[in-house]
Amino acid sequence: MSNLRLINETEITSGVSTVNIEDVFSADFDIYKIVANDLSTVGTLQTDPDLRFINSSGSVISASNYDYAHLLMFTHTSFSVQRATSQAQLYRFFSQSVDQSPESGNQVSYIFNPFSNSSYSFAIYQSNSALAGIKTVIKGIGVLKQTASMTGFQVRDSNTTRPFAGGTIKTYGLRVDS
Amino acid sequence: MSYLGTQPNDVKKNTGLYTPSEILQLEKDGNWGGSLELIAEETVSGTPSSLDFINLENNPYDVYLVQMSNFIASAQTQVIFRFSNDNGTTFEAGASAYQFASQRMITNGGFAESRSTGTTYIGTDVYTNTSTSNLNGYFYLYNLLDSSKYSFLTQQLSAILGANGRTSFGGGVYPTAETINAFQILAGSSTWTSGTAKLYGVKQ
Repeated sequence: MSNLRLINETEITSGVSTVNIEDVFSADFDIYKIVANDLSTVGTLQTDPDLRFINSSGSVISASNYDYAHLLMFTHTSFSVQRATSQAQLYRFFSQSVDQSPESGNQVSYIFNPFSNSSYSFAIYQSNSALAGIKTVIKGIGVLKQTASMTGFQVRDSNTTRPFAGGTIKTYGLRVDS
Repeated sequence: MSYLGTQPNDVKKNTGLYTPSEILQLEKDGNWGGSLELIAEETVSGTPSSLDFINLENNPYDVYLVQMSNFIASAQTQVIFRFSNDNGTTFEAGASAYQFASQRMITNGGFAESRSTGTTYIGTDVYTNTSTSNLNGYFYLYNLLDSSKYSFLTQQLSAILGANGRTSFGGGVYPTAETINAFQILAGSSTWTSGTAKLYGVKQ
């Protein structure tokens, strides 16, 4: 038996710009794995699929407490580093920009200590996406610098007006044998 | 099937334990066994140029995970990947069939970019060699069986080449919307002499 415990599977409904996945982080696990695949948009204009955490009160954390750094690996040009501190979200957490199918964004990430109320919530992620002539792999790290307990997360269309057409988000707890 | 019950419901933190009634329910639903299903395990036999996984449609998943252990080649070579739309009879190798990008890190040298917008394979820039130059790593495959989507791969691999460690992370895409029902792990222009790969389906 694998060490993954499926906690939640969410199919993104076409036409929404935010998807809240709540009550997935708990005292049950310290480490979580997220698998996202086939993120695409309704329209032809692209958007960046970002992440915001949701706290135990159900509030989406939009305060400027997120830091991130990632490497964008393009197939068509030189790679570039993208990093920022004191942001309102983890930018491009789920992938570089996505648009209409058959192109899409896909990602695997790990979240550390989100439920703890004494440590920050950390993440590492790796994604792959296609957008017109741009094919990009991202490898990165992110952190929410709040010690409050987080119980979920939000997938958001960073542009807010270019909604998702679909996609699947699976969240797992990671069993640790000791 | 999702992890059952109202959280927190672990008997012991981080154990992911199920109650007997939950196990019975999962067995009844055909979901007992965890969230990764081992579909196939292939071990190098002889000196093949590739290790192939076919018949993906027999075990359909949106996302697959492949773990590679102790791959050794008969000569220094780059590990690369190709996809098939005819269940492994042929593998796509057109001049612009794939795009890829990866970051290579070497323990005694600089980091380097590797990329292409049109090539005959998904490259990794990780090289293996003979004897103790074992290559290990994993890669994920996305949307292969979906005829309306591009097929994606992300990878993280490491090996020893000479006396130096070499790691690569990155990925590639087969930018054609069609059903991919097989893939192969190639020893570049050489042949494999050992290695094992396990194919898992990421359960929904």
